[in-house]
Amino acid sequence: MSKHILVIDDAGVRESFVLALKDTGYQVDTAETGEKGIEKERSKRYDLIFLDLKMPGMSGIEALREIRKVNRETLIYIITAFYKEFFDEIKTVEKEGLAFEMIKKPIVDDQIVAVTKGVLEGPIAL
Amino acid sequence: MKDQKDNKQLQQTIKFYATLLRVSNDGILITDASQNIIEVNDTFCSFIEQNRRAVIESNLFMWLENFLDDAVEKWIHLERSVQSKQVVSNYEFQLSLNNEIRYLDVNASLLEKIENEEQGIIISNWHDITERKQAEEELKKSQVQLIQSEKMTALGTMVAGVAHELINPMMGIINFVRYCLKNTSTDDERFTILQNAERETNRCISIVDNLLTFSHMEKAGVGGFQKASCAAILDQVLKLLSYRIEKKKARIIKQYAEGIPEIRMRINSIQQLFFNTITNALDAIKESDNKEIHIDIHQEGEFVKVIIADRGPGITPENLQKIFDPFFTTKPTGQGTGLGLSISQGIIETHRGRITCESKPGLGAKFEISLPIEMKVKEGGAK
Repeated sequence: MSKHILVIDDAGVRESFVLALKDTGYQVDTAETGEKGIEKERSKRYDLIFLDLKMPGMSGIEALREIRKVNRETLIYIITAFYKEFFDEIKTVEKEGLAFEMIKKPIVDDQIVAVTKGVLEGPIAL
Repeated sequence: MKDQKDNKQLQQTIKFYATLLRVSNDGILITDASQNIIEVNDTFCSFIEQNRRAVIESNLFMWLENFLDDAVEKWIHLERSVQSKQVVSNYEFQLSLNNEIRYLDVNASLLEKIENEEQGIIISNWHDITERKQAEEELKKSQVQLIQSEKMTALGTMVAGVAHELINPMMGIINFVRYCLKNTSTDDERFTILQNAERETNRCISIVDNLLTFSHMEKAGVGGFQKASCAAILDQVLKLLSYRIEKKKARIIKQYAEGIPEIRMRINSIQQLFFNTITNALDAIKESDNKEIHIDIHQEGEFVKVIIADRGPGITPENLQKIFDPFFTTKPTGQGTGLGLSISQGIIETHRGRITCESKPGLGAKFEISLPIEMKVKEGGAK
């Protein structure tokens, strides 16, 4: 069964993921806001969600919380330009025991594939 | 008999005025139409470092020639002015005394000519305003520094904002180019061009990365924390704004609690913070009847709380949510950058404090700034 991935971020980032993961066999969906992303998660269980912190409307941290309410098992990867800004918020979320990983933008196709495969398949030698 | 009595009274009067002259902290000088010094007090003599004997009956110009800044010209101008106006004031003279410039503020009156007296006798009062001048200079310097610093921070915040906005598009572009490269034959002439595009885009990303790192270094606090008193800094800022406060006819009502401990802070930043907040209050009361601005400092547990409240038009609930956003402003275009509060918030964050705003339309606005007394400051970036 193929794995489902959701990318919640700006157009440039969403399209980067779609292109990078094109030939991997993974099913990639996208959403442009936290709210839309949560709607998608409610209708379909994702194996991996990539999420930005700074988004219009609902922030990444809020979206993270809401997603965790719906699904404790989904792997969540925060992709952000500069995480130091949100350091305190992130600390709070960590304290609440909400699991997530983080990666710094910008990332290119090879890294996207490596991270995705690594997370979904376990460590893999590329 | 009457003559004796009159004489005694005259002597007494002379004694009275002579003493007055002598004890005055201001220099007092009486000169005639040819600038000869008819009378002079010790204070004036001390300005020019001479004793009375050398000064009495000498010519004023001889001494003024040693003053700075065209003193002779100035005196000639003063004389001309006093001839027509009878009384003149605020002529500023400068001289060098003990390796220091002293500033003297001069008022002068023309002595009324009675009967056969000489005409053109001028009585001048020389008041030392050096300390005031020095204070004004210091103030001006601080003000310039503050404005410069505010500009730099505003610029930094704007640059960081722009850089941040560029990250997503750049990520898109680099990935689009790389995808095209993967799907273009190396024989295709477009291959090299795409490689160039990739190279240039990487350059852009580098620049953006540098900008963000720099702006975050600023925020993370490269140096400069020291213990200082909020009350003292507030007073400094009020002094800096004194002209504006007067112009807007604002009434500042201070309520500083006693015994507030000093807190660790970057003094320039906190100055800026208070400056921004009070300036907003001053702008707010522009059209209102109640021009009071309340400034309150007290301690609440582990925090020092500074409250700045005005009775201006207040802020609507919709705007209240946005006031800390960069570039948000309700002022007409060209007035203000809309960065003041977002910069303030940045400063508060660096100090691990809190800023909140309470406001209802028609009831003014109240800004509450809380700063921790003990602060574990993460200097040099968080881990």
